[in-house]
Amino acid sequence: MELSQAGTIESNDCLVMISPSEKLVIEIESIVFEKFGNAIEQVVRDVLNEQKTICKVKVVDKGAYDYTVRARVITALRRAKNE
Amino acid sequence: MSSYLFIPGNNPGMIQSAHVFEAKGIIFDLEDAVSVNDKDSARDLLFEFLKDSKLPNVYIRINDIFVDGKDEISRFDKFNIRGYMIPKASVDVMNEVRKYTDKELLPIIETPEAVLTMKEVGEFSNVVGMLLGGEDLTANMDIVRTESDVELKYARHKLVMVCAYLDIDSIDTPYTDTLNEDGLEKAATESKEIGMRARSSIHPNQVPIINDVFRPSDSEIEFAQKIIKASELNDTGVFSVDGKMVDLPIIIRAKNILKKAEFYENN
Amino acid sequence: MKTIKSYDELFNLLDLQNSITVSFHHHLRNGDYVLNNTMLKLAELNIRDITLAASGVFPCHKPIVPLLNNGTISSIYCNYLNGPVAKAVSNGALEGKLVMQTHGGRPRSIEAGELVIDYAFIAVSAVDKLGNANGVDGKTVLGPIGYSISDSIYAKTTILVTDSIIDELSFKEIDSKNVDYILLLDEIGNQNLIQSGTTTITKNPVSLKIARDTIKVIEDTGYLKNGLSFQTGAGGTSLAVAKYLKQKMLDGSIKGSFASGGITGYIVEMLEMGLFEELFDVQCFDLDAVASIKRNKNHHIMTASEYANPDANPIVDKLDIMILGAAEIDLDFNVNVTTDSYGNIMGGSGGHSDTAAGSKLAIVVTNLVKARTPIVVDKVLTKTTPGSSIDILVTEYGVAVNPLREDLILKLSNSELNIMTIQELRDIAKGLVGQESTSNRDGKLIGYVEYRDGSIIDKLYSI
Repeated sequence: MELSQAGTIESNDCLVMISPSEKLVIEIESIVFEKFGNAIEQVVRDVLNEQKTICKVKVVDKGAYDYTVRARVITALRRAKNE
Repeated sequence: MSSYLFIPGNNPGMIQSAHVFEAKGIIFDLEDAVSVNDKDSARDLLFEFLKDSKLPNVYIRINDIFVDGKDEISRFDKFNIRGYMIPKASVDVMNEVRKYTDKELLPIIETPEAVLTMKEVGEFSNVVGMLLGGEDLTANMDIVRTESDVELKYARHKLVMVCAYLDIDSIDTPYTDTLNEDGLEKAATESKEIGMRARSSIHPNQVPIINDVFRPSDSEIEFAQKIIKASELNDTGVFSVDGKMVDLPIIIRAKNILKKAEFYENN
Repeated sequence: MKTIKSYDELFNLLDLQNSITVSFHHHLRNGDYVLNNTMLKLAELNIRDITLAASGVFPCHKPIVPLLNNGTISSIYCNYLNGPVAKAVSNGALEGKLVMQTHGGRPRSIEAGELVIDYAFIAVSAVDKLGNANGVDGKTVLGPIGYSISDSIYAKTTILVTDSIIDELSFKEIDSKNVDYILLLDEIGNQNLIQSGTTTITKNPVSLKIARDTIKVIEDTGYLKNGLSFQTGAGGTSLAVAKYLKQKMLDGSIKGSFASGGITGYIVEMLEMGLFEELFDVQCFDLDAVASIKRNKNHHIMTASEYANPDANPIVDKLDIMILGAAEIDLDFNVNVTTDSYGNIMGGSGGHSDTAAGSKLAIVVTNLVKARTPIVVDKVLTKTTPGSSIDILVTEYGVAVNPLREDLILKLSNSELNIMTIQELRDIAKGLVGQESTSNRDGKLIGYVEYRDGSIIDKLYSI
């Protein structure tokens, strides 16, 4: 696995950065952290569980909806595994 | 609704508000509006978005059918989308596309070959419209685009004719000066006058201007209603309304105007 | 009347005590020097427990934050509160209370003797030899100072603060008979920051769509006709509504009666094109508007009381169409423009409640959701304007009509617009943003939202 990222910090998007890690680490920074921090974390967990992957995921969120977070995590993971 | 709106496929902010602009078709773009490095992001984003989307008028502009386009179709074909916009369309390209999908197709006429084989391209089943790709076409031929569109005359008029014959949408090339609203209004008016059924938009602010140009005006509707009424009262084949001669083709055109007006009201 | 040249000289003449109430207007907006200088000088004299009655508090007032923390200022009355002072108040810095009033309720409470002002410090552009003053003729131009007039009449002591003494005023706003002292300083404010930021029309496609639909609402409800009166805010979407309205009026040869409120050069253009017969101006947002006052005799100025005081037969009661914003709007159409959805104070009614109550067609225009934050909510966190005064909500997803207005529901029943219930809009918002975590609000009471008639409409809490 390599360092990778996907997405942007534009409004309604999120930047997802993935790095190798022995333990599962999820870091979320969000402009709506209080209300949606949990939802964002859950989306990340779901993808990692589906792909049975352990790594470190950092999300810098600017108000992305769940499907956008999910898509960016999926892209970042694929890039981490393929590159 | 007379515009097909391009939305960059890797831009969540634009994807989520695309439906707001009253376009006839939304084209989520995986081709020119997405950089090579981000095509994978765009595909993943559209995939996740379309899972729950109930939008009724979505098309996807795929990449080259012989390279990534076929994988894109395979991935998206199960979703509730109308179909695909096909770049650099040709007879060979369309034959290949038809192997992978039965959904609606909007081929883009943007090469000299496509201009010459327009009818054959348009005749494929499931083609519901054709777009003139003026930028790519002229770049291909090393011509500079002008405000008057003189270099596209032949291709535009031919598109109108072929699409009228096939009863599919002729979609005019995008007006690329997105800040020039007066210029767009003039260009869209010309599209309407030469018989185009729609014009593509590359920015949401263009859609209402194009819709307003193509919508039958109140006076057009009023005159059409007069004609229909007069035709119901007249036995003879030819009569006059407000000093203008009216015969069968004009009555048919009046009926179409009223149908279009109704379409605008209900959508 | 003698001109005083320094705060020290002035304060020697005044019998300053603790627990006084001092007032300021907000016509200097974010370029104000007067409020800070005055309050800091009072702090130097160790005056404590002051009630600050400033009609608006802006980011430039950051220097007075320490005065909240140390008890110099214990209570604040204002109509608009933003910036570091708002943040400090939201964090519980005030020992006393914050009372958020409206542009109409403030003069009402002053004239009714409820808000008693000991010292009104009124920044003015120019003072003449007799002690009359206005907001337009001097070195620093404020525009007409409508928000200060009740203060000048009812305060126990009125002090004009200016940087220009001139021979003759073009017109009088404050009468010398109400003036006790004139304080002449080098500068009263920063001219560049007094104008409230560029008032440009938005280019955002979603905002423009909302503005277009708002015009359709005005048309379909029958309010687009000769004699119409109109008011809108200075923000991007509001100005876009004005632009589309202008086009519609030109296309339809419609002539309105008046436009009102905070005036911009754009509205002046509409006056000069003959689209309105008159303007009623309570504050100028740019210098074009100020210039218009001097050259157009149908561009009238009005005091805050004439504008919005519910007990004074105000202009807002004659208004047809009002375009409003919202930080939140709930299922009963109550609007919050005072706090964000976390409880941070970031605004205040200003004229919101007054114009909503007075106008015949009060339209809130807003995105349904902004950066994953729904604007349409189940219940607003803070109630600024009651739902009974709000008639229509326009969002990019659809238009909702207050069930109280059966007449409008009927008029819009054949409209091309996407008419929905506010519950349907709420459900769409919820569907878009996903599952929200609920946060605990356990702040202490820090103040009140006072409605224009003096009643308390909601409470404010620390975050």
